[in-house]
Formats: sequence, C-alpha cells, structure tokens
Amino acid sequence: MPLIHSIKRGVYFDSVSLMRAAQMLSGLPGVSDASLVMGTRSNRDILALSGLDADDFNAAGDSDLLIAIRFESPASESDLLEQVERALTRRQEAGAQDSGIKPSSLEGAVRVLPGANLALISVAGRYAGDLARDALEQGLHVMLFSDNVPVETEIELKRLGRDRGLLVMGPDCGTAIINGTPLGFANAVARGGIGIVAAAGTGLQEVSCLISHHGEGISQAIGTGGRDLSGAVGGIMFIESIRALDADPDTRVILLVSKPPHPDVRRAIGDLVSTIRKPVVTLLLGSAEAGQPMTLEEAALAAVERLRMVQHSLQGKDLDSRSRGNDTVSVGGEVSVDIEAANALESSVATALAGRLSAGRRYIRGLFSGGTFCAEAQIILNRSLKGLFSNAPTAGSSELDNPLHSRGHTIVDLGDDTFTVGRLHPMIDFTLRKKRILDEAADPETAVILLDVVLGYGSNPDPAGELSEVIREAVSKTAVICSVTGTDSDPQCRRRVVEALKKAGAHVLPSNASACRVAGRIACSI
Amino acid sequence: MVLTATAHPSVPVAGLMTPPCGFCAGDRIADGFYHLHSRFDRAANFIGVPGLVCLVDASLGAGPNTITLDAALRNASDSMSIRFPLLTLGDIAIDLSDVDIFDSGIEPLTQAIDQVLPNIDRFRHALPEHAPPISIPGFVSGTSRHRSVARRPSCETFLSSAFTRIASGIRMLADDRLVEGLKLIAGCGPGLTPSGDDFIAGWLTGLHVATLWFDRDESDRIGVIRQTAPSANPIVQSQFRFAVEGRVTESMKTLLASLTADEGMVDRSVQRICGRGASSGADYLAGFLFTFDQEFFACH
Repeated sequence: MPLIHSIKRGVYFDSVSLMRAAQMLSGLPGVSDASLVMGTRSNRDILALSGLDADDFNAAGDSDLLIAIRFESPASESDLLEQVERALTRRQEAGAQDSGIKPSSLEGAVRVLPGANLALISVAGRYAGDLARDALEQGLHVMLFSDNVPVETEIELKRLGRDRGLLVMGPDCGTAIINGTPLGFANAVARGGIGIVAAAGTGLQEVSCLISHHGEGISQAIGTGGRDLSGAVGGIMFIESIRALDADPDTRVILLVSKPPHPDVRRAIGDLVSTIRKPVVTLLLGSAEAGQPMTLEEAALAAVERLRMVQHSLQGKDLDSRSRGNDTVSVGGEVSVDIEAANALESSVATALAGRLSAGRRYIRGLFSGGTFCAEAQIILNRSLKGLFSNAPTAGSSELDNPLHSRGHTIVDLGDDTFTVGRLHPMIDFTLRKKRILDEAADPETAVILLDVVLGYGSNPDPAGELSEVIREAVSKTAVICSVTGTDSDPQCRRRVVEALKKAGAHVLPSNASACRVAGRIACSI
Repeated sequence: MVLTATAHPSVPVAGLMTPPCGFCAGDRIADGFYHLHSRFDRAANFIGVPGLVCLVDASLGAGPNTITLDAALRNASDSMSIRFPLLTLGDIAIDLSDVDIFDSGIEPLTQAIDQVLPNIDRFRHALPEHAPPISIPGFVSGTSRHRSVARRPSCETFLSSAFTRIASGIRMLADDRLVEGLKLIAGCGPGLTPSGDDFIAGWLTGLHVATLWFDRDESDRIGVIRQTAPSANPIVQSQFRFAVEGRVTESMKTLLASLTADEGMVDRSVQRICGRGASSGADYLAGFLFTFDQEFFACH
C-alpha cells in the first residue's frame, strides 16, 4: 500500500491535537494507518517499526512535525494532505477564537454568572466528585456528565443533594431538559405537560422526541444516571425527581423510564407512586409486566394518551380511552396511532426487503450508538428469534466472545468501553460504525443491518452525510433499516436526515421499536 | 538581566498599561527580543536569544519563565520585547514595575527525613490514581483499568508502541543501564513535549531535590542524562535547564511543600499537576518519583 509522508518544519501541536488528527485520518475510507508525531529520533524509530517510515524522515529534527499515512485507493495524496491541514488548522482556529471569559474555577464561574442554579460537570471521573460537592455546597443543582465516579461518592453526593433540596443528575447522566433547556445529548422538543424521569440517556431522548412528534411536550426531563436504581444507591435521585415533578405545576403526567431497579428500590418507587395523584406511566425496560408498556414507543404513546385524558377531563369532556375494538389507540376521540396501519406498513416493508435478499443472508446485525436502543432491540427480537448475541446481553441474549466480530443474530452497543477508548462517543464519531457497516454487509450471512441515528445537541452534526455513502454500498447486498431519534427543530433537522438516509437506500421507521420489529419480521420470514 | 523583586523606576510610555491584579512573572525571565514559537489555548510560547518565555493563562499558575496574561494580550502580537520593567507586545506596553515576581527556587528541607518518607509513599499511591490512562504512570504502574485502556488494540498503535518503549527504557534505567535507557526514552511521544522528555525533566528535578534534601551526590548521573538526552526542541531544552538548576513551577513548589505536610495536601498537589497537558504533568511526576522509588517502576 502506498505511503504519504510529509515533514512540516518548525510546526508545533500538542499531543491531543496530533492524536485527534491521526484518529480522524485513520477513520477515512481507504486509510489503513496514520501517525502525526514530532520528528525526534525515538519517534522515527517507532514509525520505522510500524512501517510508516520514509527516507526523508531521517533529515527531520526534534522541532519538525512528521506526517505518515498508509492508504489504498481511492484516497488521493493531495486530498489526504488537505484533510491533515484542515484538521490541524481547525484546532488552531478553535484555540484562537476562544478568547472570551473563561473562568478557571467553579467560584469564578459563579461570580461571572451569579443567577446560575445548575452546574453541568464534565471532567474526568476522579475529579468530578469534589467539583460536584463544591457545586452543591454553593446551592447549585448538579448534572454530572462524567462517568467513573466511585459509587461511594455518588451516594454521598446524592444524600447531600437530597438534604439540601438539590438534584444530582448522574454520574454518567448524558441527557436532561430543564426548564426547556436541553443539557448534554438532548433534543429540541416541544414544551408541554409530560415530566420524565429516566435512568437512561438515549431512552429519554427517544421518549421525549416521540412525545413531541405526537403533538405533546415536555415540562422537565430529569436524568438520574443508570446506577441510581441499584441497591447501593437506593434510587435516591429517582425518588427525589418524582417528588419534584409531583410538585411542579406544569407537569400533568409523569413518565418513568429505566431498566428494572433493585427490588427494594422498585418497592420504594411503587410506594411513592401510589401516593401521587398525577397519572404516572412506568416503563421498566426488560420487565414483562402485564398492563405496562414494553417499549419506549409504547411508553411515550401511553404518556401522551394519559395527558390528553387529563386535558379532556379538565375541559369537562367525556373520556374515550383506549379503544381496542378497532386496534386503534384512541385518545379523547383523537386517533394518535393506527396500530393496524402501522402493522401493515411494517409488514409490507419486511416482505419487500426479505424478497430482495440473496440466499444465505439470514441474520440481523444491529449496530447501536445508544445503549438503551441496544437493550430494547434485544428485548423485542428475543420475543421472536432465538440465538441472539450481544456485547451488552440482556433479555436472554448470549455474550459475544469478541465484540469486534458478529455471530448469528448480533446486537452491538458501540458505546461500550471496548469501542470508545481514545475515541469520541459513537453518537458523535461514526468512524467505527461506518467500517462495521461495510464489514457486516460483506458478510454473506447478513440479512439486515439495524441502526439507530440519534440527533440533537452534542450529536454528530451531519449524520446523513457521514452514513449515506456506506449505506449506499451496503444496500446493494443487504437491507439497512434504521430509526432516527430527533425532531425537525434539532440542529440536524430530522426531516432532512430522514430524506437523505432514504435517498441512500435505508428504510427509516418511526421509532427504534418499529425498526426492530421490521428486522425481526424479515429474519423470521427467511 | 534577570527579573528580581526589587523595585524599578517606571518607564513613561504613552498608553502604558498597568498589569491586572494577580499578574505574576517568573524570576528566570531575561531582557531581550522574542518571537512567537507556538500558541495554544492557554499559553503562547515566545523564543529569543535569552531563552523561552511563556505567556500563560492564570489557571496554569506561575513558573520560572512564565508571565500570566489574559487571552487578548497573549494573542495580541507575534513578537515581544522585554526591557525590564517594560514588556511590549506589538503596540501594547505593560509596566512590570509592581508585578509579583515568582521565586522558582526549591526550598531546602527543614524537617527530619523521617517526616518526608511517608509522604513520598503517599505520592507513590496518589500518582497512578490521578494520572490519565494514556500516560507513563497510567501505563507502567496504573490500576488494571489504566493498563487495559492503554494496551487495548483500539488505543493508537503509535501511542502503545511509544509507551511500551518508554516502559522498557525505565526498566533499563532502574538496572543502571543509563545510556541505553535514556536513548529509548528521550524524545519518545507524539506532541510538543514528548512524554519521554517530560519524564526526564521530572527525573532531573528529582535528582536536584535528592541532592538538596538528602545530601546525595547525583552530579555524575545528571551529567550522563544531559549528555545522552539532548533535545533540539527549545521547550524541552528550557525544561531540562530549569530542572538541572532546581527551578520549578508554582504547582511543583506546592507539591514539594506538601511532602513535608499532611496527606491531603500531597494528593491534591499530585492531582493538580496531573491535570497539566494531555499527559505532561503526570509524565513529569513519574520522572520525579523515579528518583526516589525505582522499584515502583521495575515491578510492573
């Protein structure tokens, strides 16, 4: 394979900039390896061992930047060098523009913005606890985006927050919407009467977007972090958040989303919910309780339905709740979802796609950026299929020996540590997913590639642009089915993303649950 | 001339700025003309005949050759002159008469050695705890999580190779194979100050402290290091020079002071230095610790 090599004399970058640029280059189609390092003798030795050396590198000095890119066609040398230039320039410009007020401490930030009442903390986990404690002691609610915070610290922080009447969202809380302001990975959803408490980030995004699509809105969406519902933490913040929504006059219906909590926590939540007069919809993803929603989509629709019941009740109208007779979810006389039509749509898509597959293609390969979507996919697919594998097994799936290689029906959580070390989250960086889509399509046993595309603040700014090319290539061999979580008001605009993905050949379903059902139908029909 | 805390007469210049509160200049900054070497989010490095001067954000703290300035002034010009007490950045002149001059010298030990040793042990435990996974302490002596992160296939191939090479070099140093070990370590690492050079700078600082505090004669060892690990990178050269002279940053002075104080101070000081750069602070501390605790590195 050809090697591009270049020396930039007297050019300096910090190691983070160089690592990021090298990662970006390594992720480009046709590039097999890339390194950007200063030209010290040690570094030249390492490049030589990696097969990335060039004769003219011997003339480089400690103050020179070496660029080495191993590539195959169709990449061109000038294009790749231009990409290097752009990556490094972008980083410099970002630094140069960053000359506004930049407090270097929490105290400084509070002085700059005296009215602030919430601190969003996103530092390495080992430092996050002290910072969160300082914030709480200064009377600030806390959203703790950081992970790797010890459970003892989490318990201490949450107890402190509870005692002071402050929320501690997290650790590992990726999503919240507070007073209409999206925090972390969140979407531009309508405001309205449904308050959400969720232990799962992408789960919260999906239900809030589906509620918005169905014409209702969110009062507050509070994330707690997945560990809150463990026996050790005892659901401290889940319970405090329910109380907060109960006391919030703008919240008419409360929607709770989580995986099944520890039995003691579940009992405590149940006791609290039984005292609340507002309607409460509970989704415990993975627990098969009769009469409860099973999927994020069902939970969102149930909350919409309950809200409309409340609204009609307040308007003194007769209620006409679920009418099962015609398989239609009917809310207050308004049809929100025609189940028969949805079934027909899913069935026709599945039949059409299954008919196009060549012999031998029989397995689903789910490549998810959202952990909750990965879990929901397994819950839905395990109802109709046997022999599911995952790197984050749930609902009866088996653990994958090697998350980098699929076997049988495989559902992968690309947000798992295995894939994210040294990289951005797969909701932002699509490099691995694009490679994996092409790998799966090339596997003669793959029938369906199942994807989630998550829009909103913080997510990849151009998901359709990133995915279209690989989807176009993959659909020549296999079916590509996806859902798009987001709204038309998101920075990426859901409508435009859906149109572009469809144009590339993907089949876009209205929810992750729907996409999984279609994938399941295809696999069952083969 | 070298800045001192002695008062100097003000120079009357039209539009002369008074430095903001908290403004601080290092005591190893010399008069001269400097041009821009490199610029980052929180620092701009200027180089001239007298050496290197860094204009830095206050959050980075004082150092022997640093001047704390806000971003607007740091980015105001690509050239700078210092004729004490006047600092000129393009058409902006700043009167340095009343600035705080940071004393970068290492204080002699006033406590008994017995009081210091337990804190070195605390330092030994705090370093892998606070070091980033992709750093020398994270790689050679971190927790199992640190090591698994740094050694995973998804970690950059170059970085894995670089840290493996540095770890081999450190083992050779521990076996007293100085020249071989230094050749592997010097200049190893991708960025502006390679991890290996940060380690060597920390080691040189440690050797100075060992001489000053514990009366050890480390002159031969320091000579071998200087001879075997030369660098053409002016920032690394400056690091090495200050280390040999026993000149350190404000945060390192705090750490040295904490080695004679209580446990909590050691932990916080290590944490603060580990936050410097991508891995520079942690790599520097690894070198410093190596002076006192070679077993720590040899056993991993």
